[in-house]
Amino acid sequence: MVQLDKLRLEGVSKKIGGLDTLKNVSFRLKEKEIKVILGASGSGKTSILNCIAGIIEPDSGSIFKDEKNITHLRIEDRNIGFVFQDLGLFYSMNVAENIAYGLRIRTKDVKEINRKVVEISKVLDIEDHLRKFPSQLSGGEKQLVSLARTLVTGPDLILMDEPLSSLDSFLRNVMRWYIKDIQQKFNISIIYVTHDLADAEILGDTIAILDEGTILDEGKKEEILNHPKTAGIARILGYNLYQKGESSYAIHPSKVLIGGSTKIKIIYRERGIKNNYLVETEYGKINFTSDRELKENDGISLENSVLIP
Amino acid sequence: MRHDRSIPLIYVAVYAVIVVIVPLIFLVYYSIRVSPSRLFLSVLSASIRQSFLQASISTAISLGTGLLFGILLIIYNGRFKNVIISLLLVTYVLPGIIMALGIISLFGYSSRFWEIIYGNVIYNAPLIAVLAYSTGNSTSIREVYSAKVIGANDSQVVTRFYLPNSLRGGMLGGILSFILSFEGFSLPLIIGGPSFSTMEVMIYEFKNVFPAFSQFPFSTASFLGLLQVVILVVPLYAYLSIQSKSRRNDSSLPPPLRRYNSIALLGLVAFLIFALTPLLGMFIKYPLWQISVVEMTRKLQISMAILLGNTLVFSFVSTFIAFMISIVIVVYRFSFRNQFLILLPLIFSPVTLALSYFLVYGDYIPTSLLIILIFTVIVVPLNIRMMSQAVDTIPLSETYSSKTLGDSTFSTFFKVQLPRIKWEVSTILSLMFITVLGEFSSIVTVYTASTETITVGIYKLLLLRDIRDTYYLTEIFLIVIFISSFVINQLGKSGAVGQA
Repeated sequence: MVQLDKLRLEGVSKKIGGLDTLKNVSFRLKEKEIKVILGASGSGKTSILNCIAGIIEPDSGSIFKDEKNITHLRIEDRNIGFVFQDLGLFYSMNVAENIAYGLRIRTKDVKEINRKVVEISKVLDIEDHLRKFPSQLSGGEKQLVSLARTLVTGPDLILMDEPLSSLDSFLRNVMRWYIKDIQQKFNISIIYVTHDLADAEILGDTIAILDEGTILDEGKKEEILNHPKTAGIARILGYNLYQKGESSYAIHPSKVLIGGSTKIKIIYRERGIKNNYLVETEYGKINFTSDRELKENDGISLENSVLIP
Repeated sequence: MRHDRSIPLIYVAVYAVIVVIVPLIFLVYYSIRVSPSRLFLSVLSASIRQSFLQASISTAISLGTGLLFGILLIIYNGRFKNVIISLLLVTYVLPGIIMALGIISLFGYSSRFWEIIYGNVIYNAPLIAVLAYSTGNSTSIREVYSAKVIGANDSQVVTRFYLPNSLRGGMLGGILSFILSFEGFSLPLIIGGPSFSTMEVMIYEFKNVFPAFSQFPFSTASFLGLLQVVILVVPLYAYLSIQSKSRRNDSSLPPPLRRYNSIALLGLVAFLIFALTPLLGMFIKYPLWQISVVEMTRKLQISMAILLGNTLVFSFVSTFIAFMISIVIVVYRFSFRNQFLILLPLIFSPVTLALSYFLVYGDYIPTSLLIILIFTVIVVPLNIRMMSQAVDTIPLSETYSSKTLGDSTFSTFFKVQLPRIKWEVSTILSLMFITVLGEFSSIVTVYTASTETITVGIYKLLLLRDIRDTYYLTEIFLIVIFISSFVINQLGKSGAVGQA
């Protein structure tokens, strides 16, 4: 059976303030897929979401949702959920009113609205906060309200703009799995933009690497994370880059093994949850983490390196 | 960058044609019929000289004073802050005729140049102080603490952070101050007398007092009006081009200069005394309990009820219409071109506006409608500007959240944006209402016996040299102003306009 695209971008370009913010961006998103767009600050991540949501209009290119061209459709007619980086909660309304907002636009049936608000707040475990105002909530609670407000209207596509960036490590870890869980429960497609590799690893089915407004690579998560095709992609993914003879290689800090033929000199050793090392090798400096203690005469193995074409 | 639909050019163009282009064409038509006699040229040069002189000196003093007190407002973080800002704004929106009478109550009928300047400074310095405060207060507290951490002392914090940011609003206020002083009417007319008449006063004189000064009626007034438009186009363009965005400073960090709270409060109180003395002087000199309404009515030859009724009806109706127009314009964000066309009526001073509308529409619509039209056009541009600035302080993500949830632009404004700025809106409404309530220069140019308002009544009593009744009517007027603006303010905050 042919799986249709939930969303398709074809050659989308956008100049903002004279700068090429997006350059010929194209990708597809399948039904019930989470695509993570990974890129540094200023790479154009938010601009892609703004184009898809209709907040800004591309200078060229087209955007299709369910095979319908929505490039020039009004924001309110797209039925796309958006969780903003600062969440965009309505500070003049309480939690229940925030969640009910989208429902009120769609139906006049107050009982139905109340039922859905209570239902979603139970699913997200925020029913105790319904009468509170956003200013009375913690970061994680605000996050859940924003999700509830988006989910309750039943969008089939949700855009998420680094929604976890302001949370502490614990909440970030919890919320990542929460979003994953929600996506499974509600069968929705998500585009999630982030600069955090951990978000991409846990949430993404597919990953697109964005740099200076251009998609450098796109594909299955395992493929993109484990086989960077260029030095630029490897750098964005946090790989060590080194030269061996005429060839370029990349190795992720978690893939360096203790014990091997590559001689080392330890520059720094920092003990944390894991051992963090910066070592000097004949190919240059390499940083890595390991559960094991490293001694200089152990050497390291770079056998998990990836050849950069 | 925004994807919202803006107002089609055609609607804006029709608006511009009706309220600006046609009146301007009439002004030109009448102006070219002026007969430039030697007397006319000497009156012309004297009034231009006075306008420039009064505007320049008043602006220079107001700018210095306003900036200083704007910074004191930033430093002060006590519980009286909002009261002080409100009192400063009250001073700014008080009708010029009241301020003029207040100054006379202090210094007597002495016709001195520096009293006009004092009046202009009392008017403009609070405006500059509030504008300087609004941009200066948006200084990032985190940035200030970062500077302090790396060694900046308090005076460096003021000069490197607060002053440059305050200057943005201060300069905007300075330009506005120049324009308003240049267009000065009540102060030079009532305090100054003939030797200190500005162009605005002379336009009124040539329209109402000496309409047949030249062979073609109103041509001299039109010529002066047109000349004033030409002179003020440059500062007006500068005023419209400057963006003075303020943002909500939601930082939870304590104010960095809080140790100077008491000194700042002391300075602000001194400034308020300086600004409000003329008003207090009036109430002390002419206590309200000695009033005789019957005597006053006999002299005015119009009942107090009609006078009050006219004043309130004209003000309420024009405030309502102006508010509705402003909402439509603010909701549908407009391009710079459209924005420029909408704000174009600002090129007319109130007297020029009244004169040109009288020439164009005077024969076709009743004077009461003409007055409402003039009042509406006077307040719409400033209202739009203030509303846009208030809306711009709301994070865009809130607006777009509403739209991605399926709501329309108009509905989003009422449900999401308006409740967030309801305090600002109620203040704007009050300011608009007080502005039209106290409008004197335009109405004195076009009023008829049945459309007299309180300001005209005050002026008539003044011309009759009945000083006592002039002050009593002024005091009644002040009470009307305070009560009605309080009612509007409460309405705005409690529901009618503020609720989703």
